[in-house]
Amino acid sequence: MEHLFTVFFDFQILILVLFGVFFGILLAAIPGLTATMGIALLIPYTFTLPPVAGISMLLGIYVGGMYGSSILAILIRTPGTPSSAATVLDGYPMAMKGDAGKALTWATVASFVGGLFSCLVLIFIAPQIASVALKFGPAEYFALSIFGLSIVGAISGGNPFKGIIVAALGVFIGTIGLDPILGQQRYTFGSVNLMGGISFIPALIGLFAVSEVIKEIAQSNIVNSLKNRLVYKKQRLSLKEIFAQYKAFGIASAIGTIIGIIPGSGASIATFLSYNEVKRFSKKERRKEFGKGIPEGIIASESANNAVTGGALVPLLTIGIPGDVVTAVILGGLMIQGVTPGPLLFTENQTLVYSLFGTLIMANIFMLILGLFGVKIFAKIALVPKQILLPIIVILCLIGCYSISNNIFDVWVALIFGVIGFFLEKYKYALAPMVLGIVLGPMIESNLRRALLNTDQGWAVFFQKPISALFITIAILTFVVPIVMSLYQMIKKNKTRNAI
Amino acid sequence: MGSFKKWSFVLLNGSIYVFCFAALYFTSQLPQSTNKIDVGSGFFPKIVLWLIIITNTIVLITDIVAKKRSSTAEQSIKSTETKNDMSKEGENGQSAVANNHLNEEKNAEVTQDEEVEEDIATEKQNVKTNDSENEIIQDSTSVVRFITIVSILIIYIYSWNIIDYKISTAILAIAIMYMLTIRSWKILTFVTAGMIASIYVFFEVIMRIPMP
Repeated sequence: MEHLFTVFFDFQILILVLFGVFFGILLAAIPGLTATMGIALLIPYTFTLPPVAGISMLLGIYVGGMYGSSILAILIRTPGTPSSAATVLDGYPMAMKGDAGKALTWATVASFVGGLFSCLVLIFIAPQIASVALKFGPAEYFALSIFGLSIVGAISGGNPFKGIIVAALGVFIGTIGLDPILGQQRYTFGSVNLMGGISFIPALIGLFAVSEVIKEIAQSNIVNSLKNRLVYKKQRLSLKEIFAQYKAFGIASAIGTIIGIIPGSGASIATFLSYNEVKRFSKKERRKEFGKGIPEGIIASESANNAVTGGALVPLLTIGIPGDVVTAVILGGLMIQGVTPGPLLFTENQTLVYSLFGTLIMANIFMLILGLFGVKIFAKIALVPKQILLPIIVILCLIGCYSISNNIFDVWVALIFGVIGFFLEKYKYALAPMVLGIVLGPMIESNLRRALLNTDQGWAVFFQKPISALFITIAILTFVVPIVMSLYQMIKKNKTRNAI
Repeated sequence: MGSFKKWSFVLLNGSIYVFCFAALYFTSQLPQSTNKIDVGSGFFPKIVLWLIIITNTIVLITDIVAKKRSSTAEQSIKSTETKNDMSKEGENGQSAVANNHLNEEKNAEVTQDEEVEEDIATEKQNVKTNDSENEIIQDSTSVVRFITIVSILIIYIYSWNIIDYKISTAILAIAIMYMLTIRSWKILTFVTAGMIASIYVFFEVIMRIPMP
């Protein structure tokens, strides 16, 4: 345990973590670039460093990248990564109200609280929680992903049916490529580019960034936008304001950590789930304010996604299974250093494990400092007039898409999704459910089919296992209850109208 | 133009149907599983596509009903307004006749009031007509701008196969800024040069990405 604090006094590690956090924030603040890309880029440079120092820098990028994507989400409505797609829902409206500074401060504080919470969970109860996640089979994973998808009703902007269409389109897009069970080509039309499926990041960039640029340019009121552009001014939060949101911090951090621990679920599910739960646990009058720019919405998303960082390291370090894409790349970094993650790591290399825990705490502290005092530098992009910002965004998006795998096909994907996103938004279809569908689709399909293939009970298998039955029941209730409530209110309104 | 805009959502629903049925056709071409529970390659996409088709039908029906209701409500509001105007005119006319016997001055005032009301009504009508005209102009401008920007982006991406990306990026940046009413050659030059230099340093020098 003493190794937890020794890293605090190691100058080399301190500098590397600080650089990692700064680099992570910077990368995530550029549309199209992600922490995954940054880690992959820097892995070769960790060869020459000692294991703790090298991995510390990668963890710094992970934490910084997770937080940094919120800057774009808040200032230009473009989530740098899927994990901050939910931040757009309240962050951008708050910025539009002239409170960009406040929105960014909330995101910084929420990220810090979530990150620190998950660190503590990682340190104290990691092995116990990981053992529960280990018992999950295909039926439980299917139920969990359906539960993740059930929040579509809450993020579909008033019409849950439109949300279902968009989410299902996302799920269908996820089926393009090789069949995960049989290896059969589906909807590839002989194209090599489609065999690996539609790349997620170009699709995401297209949906949120390119569509926004097209929309802004198509609307001929750009000249006025000079007057209406987002103005970032430093806005502090009082401790009283922060402590008043203890419930939102608690719910979001807990959900983020738990979801992070479950391998393969990732930060995007955590943020949307957390958003839904924080909304549900809010007072009735407050619930209506979600999506209009309130702190709870930002906290729900940002605390959850940074809580995933610690959570995702639990299965990685204890059982050697990465919790998400970034930890999968970090796994590569560990292997390069000759470290094999797994249960034995805790008994054989405690120094390394606890040093990494200490590093993670430090990365969160640096993130808070950079977020509070350095965000102005990153927020400068919001002060650039839209006439200048729009071409820069679209060019960075397209070049960023190309840089993922040096493939022009990804750039075309971004443009096509940009046009699709433009039309969907024009007809009031929310875009967030599509992201959820693309992320969860492959997970739902493979686990559904595996569960059905492994049993003679057919669909009943999902209700015979207690964890699976529980998640499916909650999913049905989560989705059906808001629809029934809205239908009830519609009928009530009609009755009142007729009476008048 | 107005009614087309009002009902244009049907086009999106129609496109979704076309997409789903085409996808269902391609799904049917996939090899079927020999397993007793059909969990072949087409099993899951079929469920998803039928879910989209059913939900799309629900959305289409509810949207059509909502649009019809709103147009009926608009018509009833219009007819109520016309009735109110007519009864007001009648009342004003009667009072004018009655007051005619009392004094000429008062009658003149009523006539003046009527004239003012008429003026306001005409002005309102003009504003309404101008608004709808502006809306139509704005819509057509948006369509032109949409087609222009998408075409520019297609040409830009396609040009990567032909010319150096730095040249095409410079042309794209200038084209978009010019489209967005920037006319200052200083801004056009410095922003474009700065952006290309940053992209070159970051992607090619630091990240060593082989750009097209």
